[in-house]
Amino acid sequence: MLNKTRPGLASVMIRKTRRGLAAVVLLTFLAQISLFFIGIMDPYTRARSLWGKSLEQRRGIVCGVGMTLKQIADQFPIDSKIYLIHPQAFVHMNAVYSFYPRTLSVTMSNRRYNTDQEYAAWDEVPSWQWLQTNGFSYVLSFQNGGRRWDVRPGLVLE
Amino acid sequence: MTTDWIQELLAVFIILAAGASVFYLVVRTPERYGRLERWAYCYPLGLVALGIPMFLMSWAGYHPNVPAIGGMTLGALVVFRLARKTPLARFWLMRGERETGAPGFTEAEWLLMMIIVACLGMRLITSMLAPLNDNDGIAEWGLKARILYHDTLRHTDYFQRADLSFSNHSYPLLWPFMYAWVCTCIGRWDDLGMLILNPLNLIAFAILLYYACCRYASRTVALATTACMVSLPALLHYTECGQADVPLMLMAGVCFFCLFDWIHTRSTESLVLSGILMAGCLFTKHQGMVVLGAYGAAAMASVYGTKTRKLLGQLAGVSLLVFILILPWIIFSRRIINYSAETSHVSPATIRWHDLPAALGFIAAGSVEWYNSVKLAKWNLLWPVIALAACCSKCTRQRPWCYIVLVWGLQSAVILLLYLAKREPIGLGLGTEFGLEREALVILAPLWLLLAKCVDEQWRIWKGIL
Repeated sequence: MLNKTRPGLASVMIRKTRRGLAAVVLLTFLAQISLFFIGIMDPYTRARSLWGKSLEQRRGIVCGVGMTLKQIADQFPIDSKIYLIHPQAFVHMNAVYSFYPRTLSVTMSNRRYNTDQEYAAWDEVPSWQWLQTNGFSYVLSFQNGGRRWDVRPGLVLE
Repeated sequence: MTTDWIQELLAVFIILAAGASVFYLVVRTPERYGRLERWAYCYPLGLVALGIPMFLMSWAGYHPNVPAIGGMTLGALVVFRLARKTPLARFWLMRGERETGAPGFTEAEWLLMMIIVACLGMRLITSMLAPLNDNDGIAEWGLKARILYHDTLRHTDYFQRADLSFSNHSYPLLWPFMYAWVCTCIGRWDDLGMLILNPLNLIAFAILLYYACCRYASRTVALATTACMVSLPALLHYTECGQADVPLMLMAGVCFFCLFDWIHTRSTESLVLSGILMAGCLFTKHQGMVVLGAYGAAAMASVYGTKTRKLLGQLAGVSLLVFILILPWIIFSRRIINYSAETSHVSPATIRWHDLPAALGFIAAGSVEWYNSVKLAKWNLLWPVIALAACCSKCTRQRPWCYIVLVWGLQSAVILLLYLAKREPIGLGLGTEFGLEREALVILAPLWLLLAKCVDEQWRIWKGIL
C-alpha cells in the first residue's frame, strides 16, 4: 500500500526540475519588477529639469526648435499666408505646426516634400507677381540665421 | 491657470460620461466588473463614443462645441437610464463579485502598489510640465489636432496639400480629435493642457490590466504584472509623446481583455464592448487593421469545434457593429490621396524577402538591448522573461491561452512584412527602431495577460500546488 503511493524517482526528478524552472522564471520576473527604477528615471529626470520654470522656458528645454519657431510665428498676423523658401525637412515639419493657423507653404505646384532627396531638390522660388496673385503676404527663409520679406512689387528672391 | 485645470477636467469628465453611457447601455451584469474597473472602462469607451460623432460633425462642417457635445452626452445618459431602469448609483457603486470578502493587501502587495503609484504619479507630473515636443507628435498628430481645432474636415485644404505629406494625410483621426476636444474645452490651442490625456491612457490601462489579470491569476501576480507594465521604460517614455501608439495600446489591450472574457465565458456584453473598442482601434491608427486581423483570427479559432452556429452569429453581429461604427471613416479615407513616400508604394510585390534574416536579427537584438540609439532604456529584461515564462508554462499550449500566442505571432508577422515592404531598409535609420518600439507596445498588450497566467502557474508549481 505504502509502496504504491510513494512517488517514483522519475516523478520526483520531474517535480524538482519543474520547481527549479519555476524558481528561475519567478526570479527573472522579480528582477524585471525590481528594475522599476530604470523606467521611473525617464519621467523623474524630465520633471526635475522642468520643475519651477515658466511654460516658455520648459518649451525651450524640451523642444528648442519649437520655442524658436513659436516666437517667430507670433510676429505674423494670425491669418497671414507665408511662403517658406529653401526649406529643410526638420524645420519645415515643425514650422507648419508652430505657424498654424497661419498658412505656411513651400511649393507653387503642390509638389510633395517628404524625403531628404525631395527637400534637397527644392527649386520653387516664386516671383512677387505669383506671391501677390496667390495671396501671400510674407516670405521667410531659415537659412543663414533667417530672414523675412514683405511681399511687394519688385521683390526679387534668390 | 486654475480655470485651465477646471476646463481640462471638464473635457475628461465629458469623455468619461460618454463612455459611462455606453458602458451602462451595454453591460447588464455590472457585478462581474470591479468598482474601479467599471470607471476605467469609461475612458477608452468615451474616446470612441466622442471621437466618431466629432468626426461626423467636423465632416459636416461643424466645430466641436462644448455645450452641444456635453449636452448630447448627458442626454444620452438620461435616455439610457430611462430605458434601462437600473439605478445609476447602484450600477456604478456596487461592489464587484470578486471584491466582496477579499482579504486586505499583504506587505508585498502594498510594495507593488507603491511601485505602480510612483510610476503613474511621476508620469502624470511630467506630462503636466512638458508641452508637446516629440517630432512625430508635432509633425503628424499635433498638426492634425491643430487643424481640427481651428478648422473642420469640410473646410480645410489640408488633405489636398502634397507639401504636407510628411504628416501622413491618411492616418486615422481619433487621437487628433481628442486633443482638439481638450483645447476646445480650454478655449484656446494649448499644447500642454491637451497632454492631460497622455497619462490617463496609462492609468486606465493599468487599472484594466490589473482587473483582467485578477480574473485568471492571483491578486499578487496581477499587481506584480501591472507593476511590471507601468515601470517599463519604453512605455513611460512613449506615454509623454503626443503619438497615437499608447492610445492604440490602451484600445487594443482593453479590446482583447473583453474578447478574451468572451472566449472564456461567452458573455455577449464582453463581445459587444470588444467590438466598440475595435472600432476605436481602427480609428486610432492604421495598425488597428493588424489588430483586427489577429484578434479576429483568435475569435474564429476559439469558435472552432464548439456551438459554432450561435457563436458565429454573435461574431457576425459584432463585426457588423464594428463595420457600421468605422464606415464613415472608411468612406472619408478613401477620398484621401496618400502622398506619403513611406507607405504609398507598399504592396506584396515590394517585400524584400532577402532582408528577412537581417530584419529578424535586428528585432532580436532590439528586444534584449538595454538602450536605444538615443540612450533611452527600452525593455529591461521583459522579452527574455516573457519567452522563458511562456516556454516553461503549460498554459501557452492550452486553450484559450494559446490564442494569445496566435495573436502575438500574427501581429508580429504582419508588422515584420510591412517593414520589409517599406522603402527604408530595416535596421537603418532611427525611424525604424522607434517605430518598432512603439508597435511592440501594441503587440505587448495581450501578452501581459499571458505573462500573468504563466507567472501564476509557475508560482503554483513552486508552492507545490500544481
